Amino acid sequence: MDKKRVGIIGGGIVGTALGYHLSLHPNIEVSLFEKDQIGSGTTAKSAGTVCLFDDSISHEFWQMRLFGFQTYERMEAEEKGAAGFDKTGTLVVCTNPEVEAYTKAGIALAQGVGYSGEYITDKARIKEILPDLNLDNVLGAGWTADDGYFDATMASNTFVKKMKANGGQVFTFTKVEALKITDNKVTGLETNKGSYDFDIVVDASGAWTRYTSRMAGLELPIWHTKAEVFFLVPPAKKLSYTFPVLKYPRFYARREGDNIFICKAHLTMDLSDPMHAGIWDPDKLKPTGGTDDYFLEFLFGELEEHVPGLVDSGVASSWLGYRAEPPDFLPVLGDTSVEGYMLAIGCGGNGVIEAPMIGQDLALYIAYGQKSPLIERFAYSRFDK
Amino acid sequence: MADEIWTFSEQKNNQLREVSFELLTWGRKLADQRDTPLCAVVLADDIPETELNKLIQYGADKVYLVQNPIFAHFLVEPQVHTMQHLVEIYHPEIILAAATTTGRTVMPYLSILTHSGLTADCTDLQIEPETGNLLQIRPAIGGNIMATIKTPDTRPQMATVRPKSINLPDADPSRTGEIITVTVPAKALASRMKFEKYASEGTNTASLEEANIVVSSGLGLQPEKFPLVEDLANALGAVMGSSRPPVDHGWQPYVRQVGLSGRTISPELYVACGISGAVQHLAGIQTAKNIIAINSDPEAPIFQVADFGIVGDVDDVLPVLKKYVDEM
Repeated sequence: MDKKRVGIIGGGIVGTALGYHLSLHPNIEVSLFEKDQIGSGTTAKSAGTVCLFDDSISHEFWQMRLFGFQTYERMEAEEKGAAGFDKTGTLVVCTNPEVEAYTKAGIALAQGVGYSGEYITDKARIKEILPDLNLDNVLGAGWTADDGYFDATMASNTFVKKMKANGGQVFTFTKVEALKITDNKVTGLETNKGSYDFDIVVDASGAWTRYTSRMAGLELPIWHTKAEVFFLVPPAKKLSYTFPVLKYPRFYARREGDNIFICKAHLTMDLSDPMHAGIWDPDKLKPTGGTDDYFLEFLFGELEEHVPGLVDSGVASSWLGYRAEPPDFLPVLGDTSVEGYMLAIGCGGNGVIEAPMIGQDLALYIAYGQKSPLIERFAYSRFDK
Repeated sequence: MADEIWTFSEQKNNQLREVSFELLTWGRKLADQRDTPLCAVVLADDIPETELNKLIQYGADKVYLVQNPIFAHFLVEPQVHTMQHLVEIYHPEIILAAATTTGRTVMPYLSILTHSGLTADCTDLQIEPETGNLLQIRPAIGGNIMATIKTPDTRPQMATVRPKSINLPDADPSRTGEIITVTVPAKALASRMKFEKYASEGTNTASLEEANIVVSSGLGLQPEKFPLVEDLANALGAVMGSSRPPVDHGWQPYVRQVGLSGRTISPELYVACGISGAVQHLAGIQTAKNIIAINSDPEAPIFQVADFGIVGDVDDVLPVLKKYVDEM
């Protein structure tokens, strides 16, 4: 059998999910290249929240959200810890009628496939779930106990483990330095450890996309937005309750051991504000630190208004990550103007949610040329218009 | 592709069985309600494209074809493992199969491997408007109630439906669709069983489930009288059936058994000869369109469900019936 040889650039959540799904197809030979370790880079800095109903992606993409959640749920059921699932539940606090309507619709979708979900207007009950909230200007809250957050690094490594079991090859600490292109067609790639031939190269380099795509002579419309994360030590050092994933329109939080992980909401980022967005070098990102007071002040402002019980928290540490996304904040998948150079990029703050379905659908496209609605919707050609 | 509705097509000697199109008729109804693609899965060794196009004409948007010599004859393992692979790469929402020997062999096995549910022998399928879930409707408790079963927690949602439980529309030659040939791993095609040969169980053992007319005999008919039944069946172009006692006595092969512990059938016409009509037997024929009963006992329960009852001895009645049929 003539196998298609596929090389993937990037061992984050998107690259590994794609690698696993490609490894299921017997007509494909898949190799993955990661310049560091699997699940490092921006994947390691992800909050990993995969909520059944929050505002991270619109209900138009409910199937993608559900498929992502259920993929990690299955992974965790197969082997405890394989996806690092912390089932804390999610509380989506609604402060205006639009968010309320959106949340109620999300609850109905989740209930439809058998998950629990309810819209609570009784403020005493909301307080039972999260006692530190200020509920003065709150309409209600969506609550489910069934979801939470995953460990994206663990999940990436599990995808790689399964991919290897199916015969996929994985090269870590191997940096892709050039694409081999003849007559506008990709024939392979050069790494710091040698040269490889491929029929198709998929770029899943996330925050590095701006730079990797230049190897194909493309200038992609991808910007970085800052994901500045702060880890708070609650006033009593330890919370007396299970802190759920907490979603407000302008920020989100989840637990991290006894601490609280808190970050400005992805969709409040403004691509025209140089404090929020730009084109930066992700190689210069440090494991911790590098954050701006601007975001810390913003977040404490939000806490003062909405979660006064946490205002007296200390800051244990912080980190800066880059979300890489196009102006419409949606992924870019599939073909480019260079034959054989495909994209699986632009997931921005939603890589963990989106990776499983992107992996499945792009693998089917590569294996059988089948274009799913997702592949059509997220095509690079949408920017031609 | 997570939102697709699939039908598990059946073929013999690379010819699709009619039930494959019936499944698409069910599937089309559901797919239109959900606004999702309808896909027919075909496992065959060398099926002509004209056959596959029929699936599109009967409602499929896509045909997933796996071609391999192993599918020349029915072997359960390659069929199930191939389906398992397809489920793993496509994650369909719903899979419909026929409540035939093939469907009833493959689907329970597949449901175990995919950790999902299966409702056998549905007589109706609907979509729950609020959730898009499949509503699987079937008689339960001996046909005394209609049960509506949902599978909200696991995917795919799987059901088998009885052959002949839906009217086949005309094929629409203007429909277009995609045929995708899928490659499956060698391990999915392995079989611990080997096809040796096909041995017929005697004359008149065509598929009971797909037959339009079935003539059955019961305990009231000694084996020496069987030629009478066979004559009538041949005159009608019918398939022969049996109630349980003749099978237990070894007079009839099990493939002919109709009822709870045998086949459930929905023919246009069912002729019951010397069958008293125990509830277990009636459960297998309750969706038959017309029932003619012949029995010497006027109190036999079969007369309560019969559309047309003849009280008399089969010795006298059957030859007369046959004569009328011949004259028709």
